[in-house]
Amino acid sequence: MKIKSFVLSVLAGGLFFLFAVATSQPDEDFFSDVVTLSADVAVVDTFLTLKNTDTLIFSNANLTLTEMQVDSMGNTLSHASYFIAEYTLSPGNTDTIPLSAFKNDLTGQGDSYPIDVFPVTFNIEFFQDNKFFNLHVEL
Amino acid sequence: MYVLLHIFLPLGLGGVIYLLFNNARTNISAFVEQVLGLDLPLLDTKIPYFLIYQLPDALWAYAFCATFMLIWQRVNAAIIAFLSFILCTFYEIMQYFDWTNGTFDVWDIVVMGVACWFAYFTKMIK
Repeated sequence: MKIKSFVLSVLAGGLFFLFAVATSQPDEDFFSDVVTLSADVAVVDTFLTLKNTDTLIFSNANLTLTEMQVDSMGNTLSHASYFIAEYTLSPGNTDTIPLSAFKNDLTGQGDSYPIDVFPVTFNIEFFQDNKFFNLHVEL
Repeated sequence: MYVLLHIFLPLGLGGVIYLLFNNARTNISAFVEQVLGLDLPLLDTKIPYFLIYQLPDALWAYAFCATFMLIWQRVNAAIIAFLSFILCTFYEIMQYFDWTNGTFDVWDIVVMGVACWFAYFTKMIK
């Protein structure tokens, strides 16, 4: 009787485990290995500094870059946020920002003053992990 | 009747919730969509988070506990309920260490504990 109960327990436990796995989210490459890398920009608490009449400076972690990886089924695999502590951009031009400009903390400090030059649009291009990003930013 | 009411019904109900209300597609929904070629409607959910993510786990734990109470009828139901809860917790811990699919959530453990207790309760009042 005990042996029969043990066998039944193992079988039942296995079936319940399979059910639990079936109702969990799939691995990244369980059904599909297609991974799309996308990036998005959100502007938080923007302050811009006008310098030498043609240069804008971001100050105090104004820009958040959120990088997301999703599989072909729409599941989010990973994401990371970066913050630009301070970086100089030329308005109307396309600038290339080195990754070193992105920091994952909010320690950047600098003199910043809100100015009334909105809207401002520009593009940011950079490479990461052999992938090309072209971000359009509108402030 | 016991098997239908205390095991298959909660499992089926949990499965339906996972299939139709869970935003994050699961293995079984991926199987239904990609292998069987069926288009599952994702019902717009004004349903509370708890009902979508914790209730299926509670139903699963209830059915799990009820199954072992059925198999080990001669053993004290409280012991079976406790061991079932330990095994359910172990599954969550496996998720925490990425030994299996799924997302670790302390609330899952809480609702599983309640479900095992409820299984014990229903066994006692039977």
